[in-house]
Amino acid sequence: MSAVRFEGVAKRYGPVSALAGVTLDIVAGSFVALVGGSGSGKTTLLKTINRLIAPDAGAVFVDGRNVADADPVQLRRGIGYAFQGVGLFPHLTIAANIATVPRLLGWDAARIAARVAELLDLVDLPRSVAERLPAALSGGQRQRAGFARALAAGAKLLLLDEPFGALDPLTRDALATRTRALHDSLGLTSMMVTHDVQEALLLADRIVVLRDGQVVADATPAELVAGHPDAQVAAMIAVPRAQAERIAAMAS
Amino acid sequence: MSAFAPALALLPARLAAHVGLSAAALGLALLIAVPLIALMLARAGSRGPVLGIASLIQTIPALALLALFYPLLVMLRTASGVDLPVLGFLPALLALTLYALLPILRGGVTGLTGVDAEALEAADALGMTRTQRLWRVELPLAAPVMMAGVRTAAVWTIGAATLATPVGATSLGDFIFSGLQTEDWAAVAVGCLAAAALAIAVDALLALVEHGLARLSRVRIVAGLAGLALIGVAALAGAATPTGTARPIVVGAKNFSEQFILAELIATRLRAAGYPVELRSGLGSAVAFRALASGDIDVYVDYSGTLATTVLKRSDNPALPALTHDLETRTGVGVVGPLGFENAYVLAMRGDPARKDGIATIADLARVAPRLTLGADLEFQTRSEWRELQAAYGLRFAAARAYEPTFMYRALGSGAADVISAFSSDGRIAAQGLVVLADPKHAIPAYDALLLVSPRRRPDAAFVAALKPLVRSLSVERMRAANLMVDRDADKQSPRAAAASLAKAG
Repeated sequence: MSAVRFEGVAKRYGPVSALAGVTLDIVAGSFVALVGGSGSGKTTLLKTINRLIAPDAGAVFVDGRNVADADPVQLRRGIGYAFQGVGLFPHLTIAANIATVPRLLGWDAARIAARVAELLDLVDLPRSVAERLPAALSGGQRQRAGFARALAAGAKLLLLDEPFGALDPLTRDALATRTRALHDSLGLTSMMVTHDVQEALLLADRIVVLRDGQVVADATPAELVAGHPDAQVAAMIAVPRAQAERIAAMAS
Repeated sequence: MSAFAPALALLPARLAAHVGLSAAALGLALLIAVPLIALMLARAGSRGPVLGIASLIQTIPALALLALFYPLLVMLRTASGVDLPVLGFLPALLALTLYALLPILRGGVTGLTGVDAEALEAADALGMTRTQRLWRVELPLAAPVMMAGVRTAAVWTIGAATLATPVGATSLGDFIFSGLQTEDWAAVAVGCLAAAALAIAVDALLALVEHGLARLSRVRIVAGLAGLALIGVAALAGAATPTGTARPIVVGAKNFSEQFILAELIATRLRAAGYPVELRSGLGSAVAFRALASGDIDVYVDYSGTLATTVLKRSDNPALPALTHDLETRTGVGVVGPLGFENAYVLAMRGDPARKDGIATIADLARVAPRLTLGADLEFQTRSEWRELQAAYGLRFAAARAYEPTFMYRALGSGAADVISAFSSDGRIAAQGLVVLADPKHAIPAYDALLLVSPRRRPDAAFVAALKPLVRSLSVERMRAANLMVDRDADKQSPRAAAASLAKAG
């Protein structure tokens, strides 16, 4: 059974069509990158999964269940979500931020404390940051804390919206590698929105390219690199590849 | 410190009333503000109108807003038939509540709409319900701005509550209004300092609550609220003066020294006759009569000319029996009798310039008035007597300024005013060597001081009998001497002491 299934999902904002009938199956355990330019509909598509956005037509299924029939609050507590802005609560310590969903679920204090410590280790944050406020952390540390918060209640589905967008290249690479490692070790299903094709190629098992609210490519990274009939998609893949070859040439 | 002793003795009761009034107004404002803020957040289109109306209310001077509630409540009482108290606590509460609304509303809307959009997205995405998001994210993040609004409202309300005195609500303003009239600066200082200290203490405690909310620290929230509660309890303890079961007789007084003295004199007589008595001092001139007619006060002294022109709107100068009959039939107010002296509006000048220009009458004054400045009390220029004077003598001044009576005499002394609207029973006329200008055309009516009782007390023979000894007991010389005791700069006495000297000599 697919972890997430989109059936003819459409969404309009006034005259603009953000999603024009998207149908996709996301296999459990896969790491899928949603790629496209601004306005392509990739973020809108991601947000229909946890009902931050309701589609005008079509349906979204998580673990075989139509999300429109689910209580949005219960649905979201079972889905991890991290985004570029992170959105850590500035008035709460890192530990309290990470413990948000376990607290909403009514876990006892000892279980929450143990889970927070475990998560800090998991995302490579020193335990000493637990009692600090978000403002005292670096951008990379804040994003790690955001990941920890998204995973705190043991969600198996992780939604990532440009999660590394605001980070410097070194931090970005380290965190991306860590994210992929977590995906594998925890057995997650991950869906990541990004406009960075190189990042998508290096992290994902499968890349879905969107343009004007429609799927224009859906393939593995290797297949895409080998070539694609859509000229724009092919051009998009060619850029990082050409860059990589030029850099490799310098080293030789 | 002896100068402060009389004021300090009155402090607990007035501070208690002040705290009670301010807290009630602030609490009511918060109750009204919460649904309005919710409305403004739910419908952005309502923000303009709601904040606009609140801002408009804020532009009305606090004193005027307080004064407006008296006639509004009188109208409401007439229209509804419900026996609303139109004087004292209720009008003050309503006016201060409206005054406190704007900063609370503005702080609430600004605070809640300014919450970080990413924190809100995270709250939704993590699966918080609308209520959880409000309590765990929005309110803590909005707390500093919201509480800044509440703190501003608290400080304003505590300050503006001192202006509740003229509508008859007891507050720390009683020290300020009566102190200003009688130049009892110790009393003014006690009133100001107590109000300021209260405002600072409340502001600091609210700041503690604010920090507690922002950091979700129960300790700080509880400590701040406990401090506020302590002020409330201390105030209640201060108010817990023994009160009889019978409703006390309320003696009214307008806002000048003679009225304070007469109110004390009346109060002394009534106490001697066994009545519990309460004073409501510093009432506006028109407010005082309407308060008597509606039974909010039971007895006070007013002047025949004022009653004929302002209350009965008569342009003639009726004799006492006609005036009494008119008052009783048209307003229900009873006239116990004249006190024996007259306190008319007169125009007065310093002696030297009057003699130099040969001014002895208002007709003489009219010739030179275009080069002179008139110093009038606060209501003189709006009164019919002033229009009568202008019509009869063609009076035109170069400029006219309004003063508190005390400062009006100062202005004349310093030359800031050349002519003032004095009162004939004022001791300062003789003390400052002023010349009272004759009124050959009798443009200003007689101003016999009359002892008035409310419609409810008029049939009460025992009550009226207790007041009767005051009728025709005061000559203008004795009243002037008593007024001077309070108004002079050296060896100043309290209105109560001046009243005691009148009672003794009588």
